[in-house]
Parts: sequence; C-alpha cells; structure tokens
Amino acid sequence: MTINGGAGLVKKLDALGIRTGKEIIKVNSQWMKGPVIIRSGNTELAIGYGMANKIMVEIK
Amino acid sequence: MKILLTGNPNVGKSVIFNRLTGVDVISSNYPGTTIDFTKGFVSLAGERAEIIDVPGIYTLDPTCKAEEVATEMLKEGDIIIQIIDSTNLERNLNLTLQLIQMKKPMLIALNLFDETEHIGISIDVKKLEQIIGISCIPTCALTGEGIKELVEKIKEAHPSDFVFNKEERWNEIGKIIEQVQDVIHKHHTFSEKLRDASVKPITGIPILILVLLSVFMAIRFLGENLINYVFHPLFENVWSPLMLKLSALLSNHVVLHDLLIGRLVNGAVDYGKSFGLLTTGLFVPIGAVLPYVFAFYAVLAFLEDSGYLPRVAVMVDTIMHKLGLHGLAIIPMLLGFGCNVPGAMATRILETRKEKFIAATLMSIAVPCMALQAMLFGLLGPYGIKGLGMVFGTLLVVWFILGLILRKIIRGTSPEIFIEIPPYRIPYLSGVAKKVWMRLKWFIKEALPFVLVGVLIANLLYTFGVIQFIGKIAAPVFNHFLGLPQEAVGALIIGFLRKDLAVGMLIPLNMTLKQLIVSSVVLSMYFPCVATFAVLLKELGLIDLLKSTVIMLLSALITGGLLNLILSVTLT
Repeated sequence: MTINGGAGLVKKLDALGIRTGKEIIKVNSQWMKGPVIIRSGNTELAIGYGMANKIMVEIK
Repeated sequence: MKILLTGNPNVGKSVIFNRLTGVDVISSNYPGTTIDFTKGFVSLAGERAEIIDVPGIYTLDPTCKAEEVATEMLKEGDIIIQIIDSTNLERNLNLTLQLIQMKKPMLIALNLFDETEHIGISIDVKKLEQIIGISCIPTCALTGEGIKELVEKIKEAHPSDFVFNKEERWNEIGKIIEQVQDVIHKHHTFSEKLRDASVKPITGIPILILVLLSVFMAIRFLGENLINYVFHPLFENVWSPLMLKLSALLSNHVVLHDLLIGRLVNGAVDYGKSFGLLTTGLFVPIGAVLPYVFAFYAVLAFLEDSGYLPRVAVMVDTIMHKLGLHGLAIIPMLLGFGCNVPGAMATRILETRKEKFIAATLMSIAVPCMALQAMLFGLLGPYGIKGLGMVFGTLLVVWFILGLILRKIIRGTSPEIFIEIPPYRIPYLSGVAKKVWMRLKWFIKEALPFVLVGVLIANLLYTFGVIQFIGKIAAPVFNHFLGLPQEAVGALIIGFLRKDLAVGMLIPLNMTLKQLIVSSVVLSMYFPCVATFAVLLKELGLIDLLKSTVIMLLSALITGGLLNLILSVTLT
C-alpha cells in the first residue's frame, strides 16, 4: 500500500506502524461515507472516509 | 528523583501507576483516559521518588497537542518506564526505539503478558533484553504480577547502548520481532467475531440500540430499587424520627430550627418541602440523587472497561459530523450524563477549538447530569412517560438543531476521526468497584457542600425577600413568555449552584404538567452548575465561555417560550 496523503496523515499512520508496503485489512466501513476500520497486525484503527481515500492498496 | 511512566495509549499505564503508588487514578479500556498527568510517590529503599503517569503517545514526533505535552514532560524525567502492550509488540517498539535515543535510564514493563498466550504469541524476553539492552519485566497490571520485580529493577535502570539506523526504524523493528516473537497460531476467536459484528453497520446499529436501551434500563432498575428498598426506608424510618426529636428539642430556638429542620408539614418532616439543612439538604444529594449516581457509574464503568465506547464513537461518527464534531465527541457527552464536570474535562480529547466549543456548549445545554435526571424522575415520574419523554425529547431535538447551527456559525475546522479500536476485555470486578467508589467519593465531596450552601442561600434569600423581589421583576417573562409562576425564579437562581436542588425547589410550587415540563427544560438548559462553569472557564477561556453562556441563555429562553406555546395548544 501507499499513502497519498499529506505529511500529517503519513506521520500519524506511521506512528501506529501503518506505512508504505505494509499489509492492511479493511475490516468494514460505516454507511454514508462514515469511518473505515482497518487492521494491521493486532492494531485496529478507525479513520475518516477522507483519510481512507488517500490510502492506496494493491489487492492480494 | 522523577520516574515517568510512558507508552502507547491504552496499554495499562494508569493501572500500573495505581499499583506502584497506591494513588487512585481512573483507567478505562479506551485510548486517552489520562488527559492530565497524575503524580504519585513511591519509596525506593527509603528514598522517596516521584512517579508521573504521562498521557499515552504513539511517537515522540508529536502529531497532536496531547502528544506535544507528553513529549515535553518526558524530557524532565530521570528514569523512564515504558509500558508495552505485549500483544502488540511491533507497534510499541517503535516508541521504544525513539525513547532509547533520549539516552535516559530506561525500563520496560511488558504488560498484558498473560494475554499473549491466549492469542498465540510467545515472546523471548531474554533475547529482547539482549538486543535492546534494557531490562524487560513481564507484568500483568490487573493481577499485580511482575510489579514487585519492576520496582526492584528501578535502581538498576540504565540508558541503552543499542545502536540502529534511525532512518530505517521500522526495518530495525522488523528484525527484532523476527528474533524474539513467535506467532504460534491464529484462529478466529469469539471475541474477534464480536469485534467485527459490533462495528459492522448492519449488526452494529441494532447492537448499539440494544446496549443503550439496556444501559438505560439497568440504571433505572438499580437506582429505583436502591431508593425504594434502601434509601427511602432509611430516611423515613430512621432519619425522620430523629429529626422530629431534634425538632422538639429546638422548639425554643426558632432560627436554628428553621435552619436545620425547616418547616414541618402537618407535624412531619417532608423532605421535598421542609428545606432545612438536615432534612432537604441531606435528602436531595443522598436520598434522591446518590442512588442514581451510583447506578450510572456502575454501568458506565462496565461499558468503559469492556472497550465498547470507541465502537460507539465509530458508529455515531456520521451523525456527529453534521454537528461539526466527530465520533469521539460522544465520550464527553456520555460522561456528561453522569456529571457535567468530567464531561467538560473530557472535551480536551478533541483537537480543535471549534470542536471543543461545540462539544462543551452542546453538553452544557442538552446533556442533563445524573443528579438533575434523578430529581426529574422524581418530579415528573408520577405523570408517566409523557412528562419525562417531553423533557428528554426536547433536549435531544435542541442538541441536534443547535449543533447544526453551531457547525455553520463557528469558524474553524473539524478533523476526521482517527482512533484506535481496543480489543474487548472482560471488565475486572475489582477495577470497576474501585472506579465507582472513586467517583462516588468525588460526588459526595463535591455535591454535598454545594447543596448545603444552596439550601442555606435559598433560605436566606427567601427570608430577606430577595427571591420574591426578583420574581416580581422577572414576572413578565416568567408569566407570559414561559407561562411559569414567578416563584419559579428561585429555582433558577439556586440552579446556578446545584441543579438537583433547584428541581427540589420546584416541587412545592404545585405546578401543572405543562409548567413542570417547561421549567424542567429551561432549568436543564439555561446554565451549567457553577462547578461545570469553573471547568469550562479553564477549558475554553473567558471569551469563548461568555459566548457559550449567551448561547445557553438564548436557547433556553427560545426553547422554553416555544415549548410553552406548543404545549398550551396540545396539552390541555
């Protein structure tokens, strides 16, 4: 995956171990462009729809 | 000597702090419970050392204000103890490597170590110590395992000599993980299935509604039964006879009698009407409010420690965005239902000025605290669901509409939600009990003096005719606009001090259902109690607080007036 976001978002995600090349799982998302929940390792994280839009993944 | 406890959010720092110092701090299963630092002391071989519980951080390269504060604090420590969530070693080591670069004596507590077995992770502690050059002590903060060893190792703490390529931090961590951690097997546990089901909208929303309903029912059930079977008999059968004896003793001291006992109604103590310090003054906080406050905090503690709240935040995020907030703002709102003071403090978890302002204002106006609710149950309960439904329904509508408006007129940004979702944990009974006890103690300490002072002031104001005087001036607004008797102004004046007592002052006025509803709504909205006001001053600053207060007064007046109009037509 890669992150097309600004430095702030990249930093925030990096602090949680989510970074370019890392494998992540989209657990689910809320209706009406609500938050998206992603999992990486044992960390589960809810992020806004806009942030999720900036994370590009290659589907395995 | 200064010892700092640091680590990622929600890894159990506060529980370890409790264990080390014996100082009680609140801990919950969601990130950001510690919003302020807490200090305590521990004695190390006769030497007193200061221990500080630092708010959780993911990185030393701050991404928000809370992290900035925490990072600054770390610079002042002599020894740093990093608490690590052992089930999440990789992510936690990221902070470890950054801490190592500070070159301070360090220790690591591998907390939640017992959990690693359950999820099939094994960690080679010796190997980890060797690589990073820091003592690592496996702990289980809840049971206290490993805490003694941790204390013993404090004097041996030393800076690490581990060298690594800073640019390649994650690669370095990957290498460490490969050597020390073994993931044996991973199967889908029940807890994980529940994790998924409770945030997936199609199952999560019904679960949320179910949880909220049961929370509400559990609070009412607990509170009502405590009142009916414990507190009511206690006041009626034990306290009242005592008061009557005291009343007879004081029959020659009219002033003292009126102050302590108040007026007797048909020769008996009437806790709603007597208004003496020892009668109404004790009954309101203890006999009427305390049972509900206890019930609320007992249920809340279970909810907090289970880890469900962040999931609530995710599910309400979309609605909260319409109000210029994001999902996490549900936490100050929920806490506000217990008491607006901790609710106001919790607005600190929100990042921007706009969010804080909206959350604090909405909470002060439309979230009635448990003390107020308990009295409303007593006041409107006899009218069934109609009265209470109208009051709570109106507050909900105001909360939403006012939020829509504030989002438009307040300048600033509302960022998106970004929150870690913790795993579910079964709440520890001792932990829950401790938390409830701390909050009750706090309630009694805060509420009792205010209520007693309130009773005193109310009596004085009546005696000197101040309330009657203000009532006369305010009569046009009260009589015509709100449709209330001018005596109700007394309740609004005392409401600045304590809202529960203010509702108590409405009881003797013999108002109609319409008047009760209007006065309850106005009383809930017009101003937070003085304790909340003080906290808001600290959190918002004077200018924003004044703006917020104007909004409160205006919306209370408008809502009260509208309600009076609507109810005059519909409720006859």
